Amino acid sequence: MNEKSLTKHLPLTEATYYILLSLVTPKHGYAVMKEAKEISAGTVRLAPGTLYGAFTSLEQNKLISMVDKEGRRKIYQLTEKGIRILIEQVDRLKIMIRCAEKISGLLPADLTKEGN
Amino acid sequence: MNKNTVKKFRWFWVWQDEQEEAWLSEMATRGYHLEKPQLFGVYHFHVGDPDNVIYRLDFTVIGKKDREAYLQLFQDAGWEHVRGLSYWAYFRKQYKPGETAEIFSDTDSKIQKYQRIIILLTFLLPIFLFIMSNIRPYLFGFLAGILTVTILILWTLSLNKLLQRISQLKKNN
Repeated sequence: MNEKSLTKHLPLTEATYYILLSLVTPKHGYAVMKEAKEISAGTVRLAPGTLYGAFTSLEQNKLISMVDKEGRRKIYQLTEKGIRILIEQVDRLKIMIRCAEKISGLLPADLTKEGN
Repeated sequence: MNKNTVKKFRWFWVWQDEQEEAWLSEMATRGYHLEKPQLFGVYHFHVGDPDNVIYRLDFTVIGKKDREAYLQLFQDAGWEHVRGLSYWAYFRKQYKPGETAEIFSDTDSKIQKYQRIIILLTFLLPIFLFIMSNIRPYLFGFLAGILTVTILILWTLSLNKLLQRISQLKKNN
């Protein structure tokens, strides 16, 4: 798999990022909705229409695939390509955090305090 | 027909989905709960107690098997699927303060709904024109001509309005 086919998906949107994180282990749609809400501390709430569309396009791009069915629910999981993209995204986020930590010493102290 | 059921007529154009949702919610506050939407603006309502109900319409072109999973996801998320009408799906949910009332949580997916309508309309036009051009001119030519022009006008208007909705959504994003 070449580098370009991975990086064209980056950066992931916040919603896609949490969907992919949830699908490290197999889950159906509603389980993804609950997981994304929980691990994002309530900042990401996925509505069903949005999630269904995301599943469709992630499946088309082969980042996730259906691994099982539970009644009428489809169960998805990350593909190898999905895992690679997620890892690449996490690496980029780490760089962003490192930059912020390096530079935050230069910012005015009163703006960097917690809760401001 | 059940005597607790009434039929109402109300016309909504393809770009007026939000007005339709608002009207259905308003009907619910008066005790009219949607049972079945039909073609040509006919709505069957069940008459019951007034209630605060949110209605949302989605537009999807999906196969039967995928449709099951699609409806299940909405159901799991607390949305009742009232009924479908052609490519439209009518969902409703009891209004609860603090709970999300949307079936789309971002602008992109809202835009994609209108894009799906545009794709279908674009796909249908050549089929319609092909049928019209095959009607024998000496018999129904005049009527076919009027119908073709009317459909073309409505088609252009619909496309224009839908594109307007999309650019509005993009601007407000």
